[in-house]
Amino acid sequence: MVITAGLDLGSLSTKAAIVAEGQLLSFSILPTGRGGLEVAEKALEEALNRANVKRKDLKGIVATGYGRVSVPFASRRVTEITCHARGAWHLFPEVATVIDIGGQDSKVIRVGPGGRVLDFEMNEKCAAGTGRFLEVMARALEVELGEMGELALKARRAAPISSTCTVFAESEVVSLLAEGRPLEEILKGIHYAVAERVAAMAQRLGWEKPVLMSGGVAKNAGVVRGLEEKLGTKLYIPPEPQILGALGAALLAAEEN
Amino acid sequence: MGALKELYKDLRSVLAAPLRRKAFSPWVINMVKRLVALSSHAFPWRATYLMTLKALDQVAKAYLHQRPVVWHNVFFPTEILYGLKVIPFAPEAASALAVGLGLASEAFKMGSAHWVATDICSFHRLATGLDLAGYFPAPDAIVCTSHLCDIAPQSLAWSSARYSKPFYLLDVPQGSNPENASYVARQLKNIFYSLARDLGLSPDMEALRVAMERSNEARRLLLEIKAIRRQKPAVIRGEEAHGFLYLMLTSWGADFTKEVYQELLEELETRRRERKWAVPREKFRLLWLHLRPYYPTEIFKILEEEGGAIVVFEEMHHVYWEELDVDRPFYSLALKVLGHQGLGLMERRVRTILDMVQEFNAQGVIHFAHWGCRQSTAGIRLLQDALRQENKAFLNLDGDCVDQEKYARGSVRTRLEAFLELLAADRILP
Repeated sequence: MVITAGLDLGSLSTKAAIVAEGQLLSFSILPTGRGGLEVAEKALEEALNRANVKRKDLKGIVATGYGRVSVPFASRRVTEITCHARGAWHLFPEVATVIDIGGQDSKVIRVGPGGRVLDFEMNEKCAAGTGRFLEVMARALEVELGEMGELALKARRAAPISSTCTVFAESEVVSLLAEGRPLEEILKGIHYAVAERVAAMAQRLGWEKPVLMSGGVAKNAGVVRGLEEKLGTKLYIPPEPQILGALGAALLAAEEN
Repeated sequence: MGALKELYKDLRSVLAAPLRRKAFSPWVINMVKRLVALSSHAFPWRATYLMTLKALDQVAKAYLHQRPVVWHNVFFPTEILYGLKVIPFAPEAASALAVGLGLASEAFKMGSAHWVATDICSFHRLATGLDLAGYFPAPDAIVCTSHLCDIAPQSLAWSSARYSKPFYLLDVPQGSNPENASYVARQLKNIFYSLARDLGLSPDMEALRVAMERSNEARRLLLEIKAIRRQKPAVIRGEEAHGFLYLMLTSWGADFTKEVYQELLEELETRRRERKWAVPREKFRLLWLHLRPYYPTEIFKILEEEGGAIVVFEEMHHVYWEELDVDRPFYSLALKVLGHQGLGLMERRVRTILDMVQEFNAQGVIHFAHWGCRQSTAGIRLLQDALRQENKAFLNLDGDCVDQEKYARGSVRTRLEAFLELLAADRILP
């Protein structure tokens, strides 16, 4: 049995996935912090323990994410673009587009047969259109990050957030609160702002359906609904959207064998 | 490349004090020339070394004001200036050099203190800052075209106002037809004679003829160079070839241009004969659009050394004009100006790029989306769609050619590696 591991070292979280014969055995997600390699080791150990697999039984480890260059024990380093595409295709073979919105970046990937990358677009310079935007707004509105999405869905209308800059948008939100705009409408506006930004990226790339969404923000029902409305299509959300990159990395490691 | 970096370090240290004092005595200049002359080993190509020495000579003459100095933008037909035997000085090209000399940061700060907007092309933002900081040789006149770059006329007009020196704008219409050619030709003739008058020179048509003949000869050589670069595998890396764009943008009509191209041609032929390829294993061939960062980056290391993806040609090296008619100098120069593929409708540029892709057997195209360069980046979607139809990979790489603060190492590496992975998978959009 070929058992492999994938490590996705993101700026906010580090994910590990263990795969055997195309099946996901286990995974782990840890905050990256300042840890880097140390956290990668820990995430891998945790995933191995959950799968009841020993490190020496691994036939290969592929590292991905921004921190991939700092994993000396990886047999190969592959970009998260390729890994996400591969992981998405594994879960959903009809997938044509992957939208990944993480804590600090977002990406749109066109996927072809076999999970090959056909084209891609990334944004990691600007917080707008990423999880960071939602975090900043959650703080400004004194709402739990995990509750924002559901609250946003309660509103019928969205308060328009015109600023593309997170900092200016925060000021706008404070003004809306002062005007007495209902919290849910402001939240809906915030989620629509993220969705619009990412949808624009998808349009630039020339997205096609079916679309799979991944990353931590895929757990936010408000952003999912916003994107579905902007793109006019249902999004497929995998059970664990954060580990798509690690899963794809592990599958690529298996393909090498 | 390591030896070249050392040379830049040495140059920075020799020039630090003179640059601060804005004091370029013949002694300093000779010191710099000697330093470069002793560092021939630092240059991967003898042609680059030769070009550097020649350019240094010209720059020295400008700083020492041995003849009238005329500033120009990089799209102005410099045959006119070499025909007048003035010393051309291109602030945009000087900006690129200034990056290597470590002057950029100070110049950017100077610019922003004088209302120079941060969303304009940083070549001009840097040039303005360098000039305000006193690093440029004062002009005796300034010439500029209205194409392609929308900021050059404004930036150079401001310089001319500050120096109280004449400013000549060559108004370039969007289409290439006889009427527009006559319009541009009339302006070029007027600029030629007006410059001569304002600078106290005799307009010498014979000198203009000589400049144009030199330009034609250089053009022929450049086409021969292009023919060698078409062959597989490549003998020169894109990063190395890129350095010769200095001539393309500043030196048509100069005597040294054909000398440098001749040297480069011979070196390319020799390396081809001796089978000295650019990289051990050429996996992919790429076309590069626009310019590249002039501060140290890993871009070409990732592409060419790590990925075996050679930039086999640069759009900026495209010879977009016919041989000049020396008997009709102004009209043929007008046709040259109007012939640029970036002028007019985007379809013209797209067609040219597609032809280049085919000619060079390129699997992919990288467009370096230089910050603030609207003339290059605005129509990229059309190019992307056209390349997809031809099953060619395309990467629009955001960045800045001269402002290092905008370079995000990890982000650029991810994009380039993902592009290489895409090429390796050999599946491009239908």
